Amino acid sequence: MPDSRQTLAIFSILTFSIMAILPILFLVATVFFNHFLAPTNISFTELQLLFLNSFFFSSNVTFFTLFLGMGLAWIFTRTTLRHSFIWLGLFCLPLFIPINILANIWSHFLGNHTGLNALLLKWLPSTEPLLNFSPWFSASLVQIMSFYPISLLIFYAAFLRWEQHWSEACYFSSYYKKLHRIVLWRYYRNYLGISALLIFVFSFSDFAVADMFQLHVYATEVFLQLSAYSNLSGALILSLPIILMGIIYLFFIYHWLEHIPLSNGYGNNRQITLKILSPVQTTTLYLLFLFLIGMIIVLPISYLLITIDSWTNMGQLIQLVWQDIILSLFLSFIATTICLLLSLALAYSISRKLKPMGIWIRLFLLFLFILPSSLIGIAYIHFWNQPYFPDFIYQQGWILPFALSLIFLPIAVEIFLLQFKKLPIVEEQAAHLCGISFYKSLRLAILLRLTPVIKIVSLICFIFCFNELTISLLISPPGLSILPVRLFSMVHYGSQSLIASLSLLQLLVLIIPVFFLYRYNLSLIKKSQEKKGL
Amino acid sequence: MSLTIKNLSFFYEQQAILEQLDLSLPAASISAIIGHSGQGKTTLLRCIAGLEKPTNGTIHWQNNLLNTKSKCIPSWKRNMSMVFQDLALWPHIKVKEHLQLILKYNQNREVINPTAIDEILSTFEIEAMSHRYPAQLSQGQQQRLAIARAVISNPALLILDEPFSSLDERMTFKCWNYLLKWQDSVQSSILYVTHDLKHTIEQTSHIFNMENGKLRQQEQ
Amino acid sequence: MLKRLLLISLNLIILFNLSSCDSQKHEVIIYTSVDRHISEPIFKYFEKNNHIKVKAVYDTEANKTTGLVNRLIAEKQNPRADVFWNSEIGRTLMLKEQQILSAYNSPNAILRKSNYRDIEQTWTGLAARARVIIVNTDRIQDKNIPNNLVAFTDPKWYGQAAIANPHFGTTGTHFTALYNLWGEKRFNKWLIALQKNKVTILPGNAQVKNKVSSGEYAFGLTDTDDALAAIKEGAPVKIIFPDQNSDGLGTFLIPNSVAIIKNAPHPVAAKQFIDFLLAPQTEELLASGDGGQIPLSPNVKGPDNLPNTQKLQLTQVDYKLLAKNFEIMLKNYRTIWTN
Repeated sequence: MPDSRQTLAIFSILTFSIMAILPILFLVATVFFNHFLAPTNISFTELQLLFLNSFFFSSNVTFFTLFLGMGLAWIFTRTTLRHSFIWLGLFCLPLFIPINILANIWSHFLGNHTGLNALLLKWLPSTEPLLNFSPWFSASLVQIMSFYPISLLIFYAAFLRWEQHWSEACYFSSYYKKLHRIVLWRYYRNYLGISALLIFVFSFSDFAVADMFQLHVYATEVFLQLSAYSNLSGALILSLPIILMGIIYLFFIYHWLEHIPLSNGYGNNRQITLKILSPVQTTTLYLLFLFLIGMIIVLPISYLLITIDSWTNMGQLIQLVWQDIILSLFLSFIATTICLLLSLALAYSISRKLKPMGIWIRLFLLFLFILPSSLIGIAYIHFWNQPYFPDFIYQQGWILPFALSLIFLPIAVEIFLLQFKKLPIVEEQAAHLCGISFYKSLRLAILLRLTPVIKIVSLICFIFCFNELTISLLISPPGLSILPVRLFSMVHYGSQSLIASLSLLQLLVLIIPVFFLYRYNLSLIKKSQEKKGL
Repeated sequence: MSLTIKNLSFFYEQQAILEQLDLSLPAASISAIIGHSGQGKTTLLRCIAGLEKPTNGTIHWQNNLLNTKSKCIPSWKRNMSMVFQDLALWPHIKVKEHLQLILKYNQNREVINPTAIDEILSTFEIEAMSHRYPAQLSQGQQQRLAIARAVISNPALLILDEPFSSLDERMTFKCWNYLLKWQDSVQSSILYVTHDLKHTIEQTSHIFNMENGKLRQQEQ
Repeated sequence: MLKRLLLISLNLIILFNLSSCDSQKHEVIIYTSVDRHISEPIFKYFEKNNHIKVKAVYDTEANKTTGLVNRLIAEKQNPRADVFWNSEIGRTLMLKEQQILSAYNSPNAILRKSNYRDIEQTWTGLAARARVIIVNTDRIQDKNIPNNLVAFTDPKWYGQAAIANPHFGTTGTHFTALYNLWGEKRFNKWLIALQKNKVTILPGNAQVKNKVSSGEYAFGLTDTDDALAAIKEGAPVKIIFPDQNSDGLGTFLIPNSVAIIKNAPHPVAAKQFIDFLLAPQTEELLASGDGGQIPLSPNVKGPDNLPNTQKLQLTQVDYKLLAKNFEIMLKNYRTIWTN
């Protein structure tokens, strides 16, 4: 058995090295030894100011995103609100809308003479726009609406895992409220830290929204170095502070992640005391939800629907892009499979075999997570486009799904690491003692128990891969056409109606399979509840 | 300073768990409730501790009426403490911090010497684990921690739900002795639920048998 | 089982390679930043007439159409593309400086003016777009229509005009041309005036077109193909070729540019494609398409949806010098715009 474990560890590290470590180290070495250039056209003072501004911007976004996600999660888990699982599904929909599309829609909606202002100008006797939204406000709003499902899902899980007994154990102290507050805070701060970190990094490294509202932030500057000045080393140097910030954060993330498996519950089935909602409160909540869903989901989607002039175009469009859709689905499927297999193998190896080395792998994964995807694409070209490698690797696009799988790999590994810590090793050992082989026991004692997590990870990974644009553009083989590239090339010349049709198509392609998965899960939950009832 | 329960009933989803139950315990006594599982022992303890609101009946404790139809004195004003059957340790808080937090957030914190924490940790033989999380302790160590957490605030009534179920004979003996010494020094009452009276019967003044939601005192 | 799987995958890989080796002889790989709906019909036409398969990689607006330039630079050591067909000229000049382009003297290149081709024959210009003012006719009456670049600094239009970000695309090239033409002092003065007049900088020319079409801005600076798209969509807009007075600056033309990549894998097919693309018939095809590309070959019919471009007064610039001052222009822009 130990031999098999070693083989798996060696295999996963080798694969990860070939897929990520070597290409990126190769890029860094090439850049720094061959054509080193400082960041173009920006002074150190400007850079400092820009960094601080972006830091402030992303902190602000993080705060409100956490507030919204946490609030919703609390309502869904701690009140007697009915159909909370369905509400959860609805509120998670923004996960499927690519941020560029959302930014495009909102820039129209918040424009000086369009959307909201156009409506107001129709009704009110004024010629000047009545509402003037600053780029700072608009960009924050779009980022908050894109990122809040992350904090919502994390806190939903955290709230569900809290057990009533842990509160009851506080009841016997005279200053019970203070004690309860401190015990709650010590529990939730781990989840708070992780979601804050994730959202902050997403917000800090997002270029699309900032660009749409022409807000000059740090991520824009990294993009400018690469795209406007073609200064690769400048872009790499500018990524360094982000990476440094990531390393500082790494300390905290380890701290938080180490604590979560330790706070695993005992599976106590005593019901959490739910806040009983009065009819007035329920109505207020429903109104609030309708407003939020209207803003976050209905508005963008109805904007798409209204903008589509003719539905016959939709049919023609499907005829035009159906091959792209199939190819995109196929590529995302392969990339998701690679990501899933590698993240499982890596997480298993780190938690069961590679204790001292694991931290370095996780450090590199964090580096990968923070690195702009255009740099990953360029690293792949530098490494894999070698004259002595067989043609099929780069030219035929065999590396494309591998590169795509890297986008979600860091998060997938961390999620699985967390799960492995919660699974006692004795369960595997019990299987080994029964004479079951190592790989079969992995399936029996680990994969089967992780099925729900694997499903969620694959789903989110699939969405990420499907919507990924930069890497696809940089390393997709000539003659290959995939949906996101087609969509974003149409943004330039296509009519608003055409872009809306294509965006809607992209949404549908993602949402339809997810909807069936969701319904399937819902029926499973119902079945298990019926069983419990019996 | 005694506990008197009269005519206590508790219904859960229209099913009677406790039915017109009477119980009287003198001050500074040690009492046990025995009985098969599913008879309502835990529910009775939870009613006394203030974690459940009885449907009918009254509970008097230290000359106070704990519950009326409209009002129920909350647990934190009852001067009691409880060891839960599933321990209810805070999984995200370290062993020593469990005790520190209780001391910090208890009325009597000036009275108790903080060195009591080290003393109690050493008595329960978990001082070496003081910087660990509950998940990193063995079942027995977890149970000892749960007992330590309950006694450190010196409650007037200590309620224990199956306190020694995971402990070996030696540890049961040791813990029981510690509890006796503690009870003797502070003159508190102990009420516990168990299925095994082997080690504790000698010092237990009252034993009740619980069957179908009703209590019957047993001759020792 | 595992062995069988391995064998099957090995076979597949070998088959895949063999088939690709065979097809390699009759293919040409083209990286293009020209919009797909314009370039794809041209590729199909070429395939049909020359029996050479075109494998294209298209760029996207989300990357500011600079993704392929970065890809070409990264692939420098082992080039995979044969031809780079750029929708403008600035980036091609940058690639030339990085020694990524190879010289080719196409017989069809000689037909055009020397300004539209490189002396060292690394690139040739074709099918140009003009930088035009797009005006929302609902917001501006005919008599008031702004017809030059100075209008952007006119206090009458305070806060009503938009320009795309000059870090990218044709706006970057246009601004560099203005910098070269006016000199630093006058260019900076114009920039300061733009900023004072609250001219909005938008992500790209497409957004300028969209926001002028929707009435959010009264007018903006964009390319002919964007402006034509707005007209096709039925937006209330009008195209103005700026600075057409006798003392005016003239309208700036930005030609497409095409070049062979150094050490291209299919040089013969690449040359064939360039000859085809530079042929007057192809330019005519491009002119008659949606993009309304203005032909640079003499005696080729211009686009129907634009006024006679032969009679236009054009900005006199040396295209070869455009790459030189791009970064200095941006430095000035950033200093003025961020303060």
